[in-house]
Amino acid sequence: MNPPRLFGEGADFAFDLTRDSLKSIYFRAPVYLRDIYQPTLTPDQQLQRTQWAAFLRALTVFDTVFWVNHPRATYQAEVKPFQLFRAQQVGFDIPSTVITNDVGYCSSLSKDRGKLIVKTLDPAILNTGEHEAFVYTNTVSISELADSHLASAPVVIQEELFPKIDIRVTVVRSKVFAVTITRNGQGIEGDWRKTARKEIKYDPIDLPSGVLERCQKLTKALELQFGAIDLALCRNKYYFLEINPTGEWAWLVDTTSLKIDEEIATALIEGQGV
Amino acid sequence: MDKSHLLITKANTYSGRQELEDPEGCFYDSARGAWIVAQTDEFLVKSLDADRPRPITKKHDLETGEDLKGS
Repeated sequence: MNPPRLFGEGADFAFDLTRDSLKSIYFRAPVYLRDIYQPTLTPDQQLQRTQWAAFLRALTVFDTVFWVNHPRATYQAEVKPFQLFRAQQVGFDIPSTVITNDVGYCSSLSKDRGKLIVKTLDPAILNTGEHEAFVYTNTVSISELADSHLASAPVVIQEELFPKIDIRVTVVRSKVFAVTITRNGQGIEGDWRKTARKEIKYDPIDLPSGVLERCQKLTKALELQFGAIDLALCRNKYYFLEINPTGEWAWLVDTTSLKIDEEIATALIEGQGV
Repeated sequence: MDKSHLLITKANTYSGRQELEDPEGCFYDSARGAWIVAQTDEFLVKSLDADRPRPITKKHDLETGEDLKGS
């Protein structure tokens, strides 16, 4: 059997890698590129994007290499119900959740304020004809939901956690970095990404040991070496919201000086998980 | 008239994609696998220049929520 080999050259470099010489692969893109629908893409561009993405996945033939993260683990971990299930298994509290296309199943999730959280099952970037559109997490009243149309596509509906403070936890192997996300010293209602950037403050915190351990356990349970976890602190309870195996982290290095970049680099250099 | 799906009515529209520009005064060194400050030959990510570009996404697809964090 011929062993896998990756070789190539550029203007001023060349490489020839085998299972013995290739140590780590940093794969931080979502498994599927999501913009090949773009009407401005030529057939050649569409072909390039699909086939190079497949080429990257083909690198899984290097089965002894240290991946951050492995495409298979990324694919599974991106499934929201699955990550909620695993989070609950490792001991996290999660919001009451229904995945449905029927508004009739939702009212029981509503708590004090008569509102619910409605979000996509998978990130949705839409072509509306004239513009692009992105679907954030939405806070919706029971009455609005009851009057809406869901039948054509399922959604995730969750109880509203209010008031809350969002916490972004970045896990690299066993190292855990956590920051609170606030505005004017307060938690941000709804999807904090909709808030003007200059109003948001990120502050590093130490998580309670139990919460920290659950973050580590979850990342390990999902076979990830890297995970960007969203938690919500609501009435002194830490809720797991979601984990993104390809989540952003560079902005945290810049705003809080947390050495996430060095931790990722060290992991790749060492070429092994913990 | 059929209603639009709730998530479509709630979707956040934006006028266009932000084109990513090459960092000024830098070149990408394929052998080193990083952007290099031309004047000093240092890695851009290690530059202490306050005017250096802020870290941005390296993902090809654009998710406006993700990509606007911290930028």
